[in-house]
Amino acid sequence: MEKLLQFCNINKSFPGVQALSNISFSVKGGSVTALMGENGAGKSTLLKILSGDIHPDDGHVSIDGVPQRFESPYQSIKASVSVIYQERQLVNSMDVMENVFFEDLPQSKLGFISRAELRRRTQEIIDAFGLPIKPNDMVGRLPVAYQQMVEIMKAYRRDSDIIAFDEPTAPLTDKEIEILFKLINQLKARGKIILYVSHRMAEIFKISDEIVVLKDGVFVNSFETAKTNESELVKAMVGRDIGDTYANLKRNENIGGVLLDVKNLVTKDVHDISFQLRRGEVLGFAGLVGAGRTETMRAIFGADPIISGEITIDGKRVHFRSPKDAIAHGIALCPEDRKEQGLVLGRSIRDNVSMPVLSKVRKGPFLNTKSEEKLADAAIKTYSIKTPSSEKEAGELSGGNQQKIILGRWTSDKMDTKILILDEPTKGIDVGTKAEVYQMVCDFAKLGIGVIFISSELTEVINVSDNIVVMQNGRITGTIAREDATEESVLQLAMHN
Amino acid sequence: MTKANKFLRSKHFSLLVLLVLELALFWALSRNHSFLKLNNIRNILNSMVIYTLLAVGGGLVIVAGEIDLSPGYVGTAAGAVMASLLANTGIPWFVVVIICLALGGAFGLLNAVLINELKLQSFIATLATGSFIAGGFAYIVVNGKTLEINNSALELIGTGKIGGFFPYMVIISLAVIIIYGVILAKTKFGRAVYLCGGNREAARLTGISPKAMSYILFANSGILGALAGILYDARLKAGNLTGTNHYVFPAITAAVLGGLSLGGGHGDMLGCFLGLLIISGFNNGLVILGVSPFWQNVASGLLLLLALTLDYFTKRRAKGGRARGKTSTVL
Amino acid sequence: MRTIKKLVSAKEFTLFIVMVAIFILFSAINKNFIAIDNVRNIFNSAFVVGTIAVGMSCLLIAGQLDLSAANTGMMAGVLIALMMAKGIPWVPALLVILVFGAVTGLVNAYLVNVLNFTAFISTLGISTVYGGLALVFTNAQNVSIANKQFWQLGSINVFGVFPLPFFIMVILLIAYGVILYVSRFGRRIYMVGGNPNAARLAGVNPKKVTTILFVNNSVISVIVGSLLAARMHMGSPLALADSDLDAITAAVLGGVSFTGGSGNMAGVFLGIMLLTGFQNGLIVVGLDSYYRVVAKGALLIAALALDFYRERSRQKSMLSAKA
Repeated sequence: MEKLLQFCNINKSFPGVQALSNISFSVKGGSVTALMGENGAGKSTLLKILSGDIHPDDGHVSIDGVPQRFESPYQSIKASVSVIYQERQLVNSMDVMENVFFEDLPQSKLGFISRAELRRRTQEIIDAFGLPIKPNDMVGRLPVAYQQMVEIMKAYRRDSDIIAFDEPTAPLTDKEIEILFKLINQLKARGKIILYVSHRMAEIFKISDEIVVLKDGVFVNSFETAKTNESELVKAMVGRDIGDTYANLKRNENIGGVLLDVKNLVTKDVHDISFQLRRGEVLGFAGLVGAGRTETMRAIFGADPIISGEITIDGKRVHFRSPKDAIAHGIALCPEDRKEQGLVLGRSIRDNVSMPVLSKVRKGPFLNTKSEEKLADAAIKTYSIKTPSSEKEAGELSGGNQQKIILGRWTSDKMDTKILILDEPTKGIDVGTKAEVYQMVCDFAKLGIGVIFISSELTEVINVSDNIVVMQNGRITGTIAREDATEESVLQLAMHN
Repeated sequence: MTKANKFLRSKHFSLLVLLVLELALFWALSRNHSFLKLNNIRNILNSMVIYTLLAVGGGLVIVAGEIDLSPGYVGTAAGAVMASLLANTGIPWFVVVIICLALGGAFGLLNAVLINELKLQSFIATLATGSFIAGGFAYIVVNGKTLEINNSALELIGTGKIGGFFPYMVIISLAVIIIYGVILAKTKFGRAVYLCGGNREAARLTGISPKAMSYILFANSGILGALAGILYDARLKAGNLTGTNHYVFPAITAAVLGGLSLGGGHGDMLGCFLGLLIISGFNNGLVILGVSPFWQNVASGLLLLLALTLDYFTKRRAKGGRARGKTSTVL
Repeated sequence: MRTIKKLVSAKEFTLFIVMVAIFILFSAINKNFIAIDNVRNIFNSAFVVGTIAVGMSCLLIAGQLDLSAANTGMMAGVLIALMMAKGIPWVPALLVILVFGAVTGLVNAYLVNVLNFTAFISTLGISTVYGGLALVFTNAQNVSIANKQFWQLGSINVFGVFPLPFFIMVILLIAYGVILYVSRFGRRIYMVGGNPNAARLAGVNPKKVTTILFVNNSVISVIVGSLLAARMHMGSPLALADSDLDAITAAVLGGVSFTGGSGNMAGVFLGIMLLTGFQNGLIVVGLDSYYRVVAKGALLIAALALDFYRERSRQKSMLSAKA
């Protein structure tokens, strides 16, 4: 009998966000179904529900027509479901074989783990993958690409009926991707149900049979891969109104002289980075996740050490030893990971806004709460942050509002921001707010600020930026002006070898 | 939310309720209601002095997201050095005191080096410097004996009273907690401590230096530890082997009871003070009621667990069923 | 060849060399250091900290710790002495004590796993309570034990050399070493400590694992407390003081990572022997007892610093290999 996985009316909300609403679709065995959608469309949430990591508010998953209620990942695994997570779930201090056989180490009758068998069976899997690693290599010492393959081996070993991949190829090189696709095709031939989440169009067309598109937590449509094309998918993912959003942007028309000049920057993650940012320019940084964009910006901001290279601001050579120096020179960084690096979630909006300007809101030796409040209230007003007061804890707001707090922090009138670096500013925020963020970006440029806009969403980075720098594998692979940029040309640079 | 409403939901309010209940209970039970007589209130404050100093220094470290187990041992070492210098050299007493405070600061800096440069966990690093190195140092200095201190100025500080009633030491400890309370609540430095404790990386990316902060806070904790040791020995009129060693854990307990959460970013000196009052008041009350002093340990342990449990349930209610908690990390 | 190379590069090997060097040094200064009586002394003094280190290491590997271990053991000694003073035979008394240990472990696990307290502060709370209760029960006096049969537990020598408590420590070290290395449960301890989320997503329940380990640690502690009471012929409310901190020191010295996920019993054994041998050696060579405390701290910091530099040089060599 052909296997069948069904998602039935699944709803899931997080504080401030409806992550999934009424998702229903089914996936057949012996085929690869790709799951597509922009960041925040709900793909990862759906996989987490499938793996029992989180529970739907409503609705259920059913396998071969039997409704399942996964209380924990354990039950999901028992129901023959394996999910390969984007964030590798490995124990670095253990070896390959133990990670591959993680929860199911082979035991002898006495209850001892039989290492010989463990090694033999792991070697079989490694051979099936054709990789140059050994069963007793320590996982933490393997290159990232191989670590990812170990994560995949873990699911392969379970021989589950349902295997879901969440962006498996991000850290892989072409060679491993080829291996992976060969394996996926083998699994398909054996009648497995395969879900495949990816942002990479080329991959999707190469590996999938069906494509399901989600947008803002809603099921949009499903397509037969053979009968669709890129533009149809993009349209489904982006929605109709998106064209208008960009057309209606009020952009900055007069771009000034060179503000930031980076020459041959080298750090432990990036090589030979050179680019220029002009006054009033929105400079996009495109590329796949892990291309080195964040690392480049952190180095410029003084957050990570620089090995060699020159940074010039307004014609003056600078060298920042810490973010403090960079801030003093008018650089501001809104980090990608708002919760881990941007906000102090347990403190109020006020405290979060005044963070970089504490020296400027003092009265004598003491902080002047009134002027802090003024700053926060201004930010709340300018960015229409939805909150009853500036006293509310940052952690209690939605993602979009949190992003606005960070923007408010760097653009308050006590700040003298000349260069604003926005790292994935629209990640995890809803469409309406995204449009607001785009306009804000253009407004900053109008003030003469040089804006660096990092985004992994091709459409937005192409349409919002004046020029687009494309990075791949720690290097810049090209720079394109907006007028000349197409998704294809940028993607080509982001993935070329 | 009105100000009054907010106060009613605050940690301070629940601490106050706890304190008032405790005071009422002991007042009612004590003979002649002696528990709340001025004399006894003074006794309570007097018994809090050492704990207060250690809780303030250690508490700031906790707010910044680390922990310092060493200040009690550092205090013992500083006291021992003081006794030894006074007995064996002719250095004036105030110079000796300054030397001892500097010694405390040096121990604190050692902690900061181990934590920031060698990346050791603060728990294990301060355990090593404190219980082993500072503790052993104290032994060596006094050669295992108790050294008498004969110094009129220190005796005055240790045992003198304003108007023959209110001890100088209590004034010193209250001044310390108020000054640090103001620093923590009102200055840029204090805010930076909260921000580092709440999110170290975010603080760094807004131009605050968590490393410099860590050095300052550990040095400060060492200095306050040394001050505690100096006052302890001044009161005892002797430097001995164990001094303030065992005052650290109760001080941390009081700080946590007062809302300084391990993990950092929360709590203030008013809460810390209330925590100290609750524990010291409780211990004093048990003495007044004639309960075996041994019950005090039991009670302070139970108080701590009770406070944590209350905290858990308030947070769970506030977060709609999900407590903010950490699993599987040691600190 | 490869195995030899691997052996030499292992953390335990360095530790072993350090230990041998220290032992040779002490023997050179004073031949009595390796005299059979002194070796027995070392074994005897290793027992308390060493045995507690077994249970504590398991907890540390799983990313937890238990600061109530010493006072739980102390409480066990006091309770067993009190029960025997009331005429209860030692066997049922010991059984009650084991139950007491298990319940303590469950309470610790409940506070950490269900109420989400940090282990550091909650086990400290339990420790304070027990410390106080023991004083209350005994009125701060030692409670002597008259039962000669019970004394035997603390003093008979196995094979004529090893005191029973030390023998038990070695057996436990070997048993837990084997469990950690070859059993599924043992490997799960590493998974839970190394990456709790990965463990959870693979269907391993970290809370279940840590609950078992908390109970295990408390039960081991009460066994230590009982044996110590048998050896001292009394239950003392001051027994075992700080031995849990020493156990953590020995474990960390032996390469157990304080953040969880790595370490093994061979290393722990070396850590225990190094710590007790070192301290005993300082006595034998006639150093003031006060210096011993300082030396212990210096040893711990040296071990941790060594580890830091080793890790850093490894990462550097990895980076240069990548480039």
